[in-house]
Amino acid sequence: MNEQPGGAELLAAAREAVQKEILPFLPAESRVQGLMVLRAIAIVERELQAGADLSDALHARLCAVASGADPLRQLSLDIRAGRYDPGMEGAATVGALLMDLARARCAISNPKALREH
Amino acid sequence: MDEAAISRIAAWLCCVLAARAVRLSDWCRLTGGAIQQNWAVSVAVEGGDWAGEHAWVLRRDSAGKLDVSRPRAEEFALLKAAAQAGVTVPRPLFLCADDSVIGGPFFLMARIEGVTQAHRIVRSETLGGGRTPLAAALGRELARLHSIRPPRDDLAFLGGVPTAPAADRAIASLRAALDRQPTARPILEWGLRHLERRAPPPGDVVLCHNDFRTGNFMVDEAGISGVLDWEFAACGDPHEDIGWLCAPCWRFGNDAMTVGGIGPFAPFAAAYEAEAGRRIDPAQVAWWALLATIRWAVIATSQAQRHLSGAEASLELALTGHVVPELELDVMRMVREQAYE
Repeated sequence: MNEQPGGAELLAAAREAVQKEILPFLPAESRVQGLMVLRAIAIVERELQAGADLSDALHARLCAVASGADPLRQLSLDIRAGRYDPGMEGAATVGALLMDLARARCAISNPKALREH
Repeated sequence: MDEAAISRIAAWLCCVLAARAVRLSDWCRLTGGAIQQNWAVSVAVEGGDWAGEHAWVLRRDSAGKLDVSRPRAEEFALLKAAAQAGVTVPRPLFLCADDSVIGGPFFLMARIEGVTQAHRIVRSETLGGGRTPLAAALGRELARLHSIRPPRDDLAFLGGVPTAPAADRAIASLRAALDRQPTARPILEWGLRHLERRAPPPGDVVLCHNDFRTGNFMVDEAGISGVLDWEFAACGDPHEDIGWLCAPCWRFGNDAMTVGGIGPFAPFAAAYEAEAGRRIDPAQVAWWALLATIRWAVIATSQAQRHLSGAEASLELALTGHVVPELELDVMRMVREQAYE
């Protein structure tokens, strides 16, 4: 049993401290680096909140169309071979899965981009 | 730049300029350039044809040099060819291929003034003469660049004119890059397969800049003061550069402005076509804009890989990997839009 506050709360506190107490006092040439630290913390916070690497639901949908030890690779190979070209069986399912996958990954890395679409 | 290196550069320049003495001062590392270093330097020359004060830039390799980028001697030749073709570039001056001076090749070019920061340029209504004039100026610059047609003796390092169509070569090279990476990327594959099925017919073969986007040219209040970063230039299709410039990922938040977040497409295209005497096919621009999005995603994954592998630990490189998901979303959206056209 780890001590509380846990990772997510500590990161939120660290982000606040960087944002309010450190960034305003950084010299101009270090500001970009400071902003990058904030961005990194925010990504980790969202990653922690989302839990598993890929949601169970998305992973199940991926495994439904691609089997094997590395379903991402299998799906990639199938796409490259033209197995999911428009009109082929499963093409719409794979298209919808990839769109949801892109959205889920964006929600972690840059949710702002998600809102723009 | 250490004292010993500076005095060796001064001695070399003294020789090149046939001067009595050369003094170098006010060294200042310019921002930007993860692959190359740019140093502003004031040069005082005594005697010879170059006598007087000069404001120059010294360009050399950084430690974390990319394999795909062209060596300095080639970049110098490209700058000269571009200047001759009427492209606005910092005037290339002298190349030093002798590694004994500072440990690697470098060249000197005239210093130009202006703004390169993409976020500032896309937010400004006046920089570069205003949005529409700047978009048109970009069209003219690109048209002049595309008037350079290989093969040419001074650009022999570009190789012969490629036999395979530019579209096929671009897809093959991105797939090869993806195959070298540890993680498979089905969304990028989805985009590449879409492109493969709709590949445009082979067009003209010209010199392409291959990184012509907002952030890689300098603008002042009047217009473009210089097109920079020539290290990826190669033979290609003219639409390749146009698609890269117009890809959604290079608009820096100003999505409504198709041409690099700066201005609308129509004045850009009109200026390009008038200067080049060649029509732009909007469908091919869309094709190359999707390819550009995938190409940037592939480059971003390999930059993150440089951090992950320990080759070059850097927060900037690590975060670059996190632009991939938004590029993937762009890919899915562009494929969907193009599928209904």
